[in-house]
Amino acid sequence: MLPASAEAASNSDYKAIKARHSDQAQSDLIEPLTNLSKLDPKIVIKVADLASSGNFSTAPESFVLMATSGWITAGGCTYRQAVDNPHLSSGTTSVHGWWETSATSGCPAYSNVDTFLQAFFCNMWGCSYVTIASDSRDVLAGGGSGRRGNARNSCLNSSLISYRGAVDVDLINQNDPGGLTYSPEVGVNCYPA
Amino acid sequence: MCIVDESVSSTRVASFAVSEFLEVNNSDLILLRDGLGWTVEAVNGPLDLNLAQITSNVKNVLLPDEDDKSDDRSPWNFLSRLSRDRGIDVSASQLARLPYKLYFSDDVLQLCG
Repeated sequence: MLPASAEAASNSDYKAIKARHSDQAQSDLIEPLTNLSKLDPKIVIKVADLASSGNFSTAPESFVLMATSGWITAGGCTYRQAVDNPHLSSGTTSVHGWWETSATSGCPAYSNVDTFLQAFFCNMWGCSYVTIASDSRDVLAGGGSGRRGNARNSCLNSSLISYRGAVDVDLINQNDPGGLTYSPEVGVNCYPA
Repeated sequence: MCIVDESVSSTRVASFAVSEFLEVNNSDLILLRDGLGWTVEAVNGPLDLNLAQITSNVKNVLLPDEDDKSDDRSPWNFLSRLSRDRGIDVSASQLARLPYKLYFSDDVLQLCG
């Protein structure tokens, strides 16, 4: 719950923004009062749809709480899911996801790796990580070139923004947990375009 | 240099922080890059990490992305540029002739049993 003064300011600003955009067609634009923390991390929100409702920024040090997936058996395959820290690459912020196993049997050859890039975004409701890019592909275990997914988003400028990555690995033709593994948050000099 | 990020790690999750330095005059370390690293979670068993896997992942996070289209596609070009940004004039070919060493913190080595 926002403090009363902040809530009053938010409503006032919200009306002003609504008035400014009243001639726009209703679309996928994210309303300024959308509670970002309730957005599904597996749903990509276009940066353009966020632009009018707030700003990307750096997160306070105490903001991030690591979330991990549940402990659920997955047939005979014992595996790990992994994600690297978001980093600059060719004018983009890039993050990779992959899977690893020490098992000599019980695992499929390929697994589907869903990789997500999240940026810290604030609107009048508050601040949260929102998913701005994703990737899904079937890869062999191990990571490295050709064995990992890659989600990336271009930079508008070099402002310092907080990012984190997330990964969900689905064993092909086997039941497995659906939880995400998150990277720590990192600062990258890349304001999302 | 690879260390365990204690703020994230648990019995099921391990997060590794990787920094890259240029050693000059046989002792001084110039920080070229930090903020790199990766996080791994054991989904349905023990973490069961070994040094070979960790070494492989260190190399993966240090190397440029495979679809990097800039001159930084060559790691030596990239490191040369980072060095020049820090006042060390060294070419990519000079760097390529130098030894490249990986150092692991005690925490990392303990994690591998």
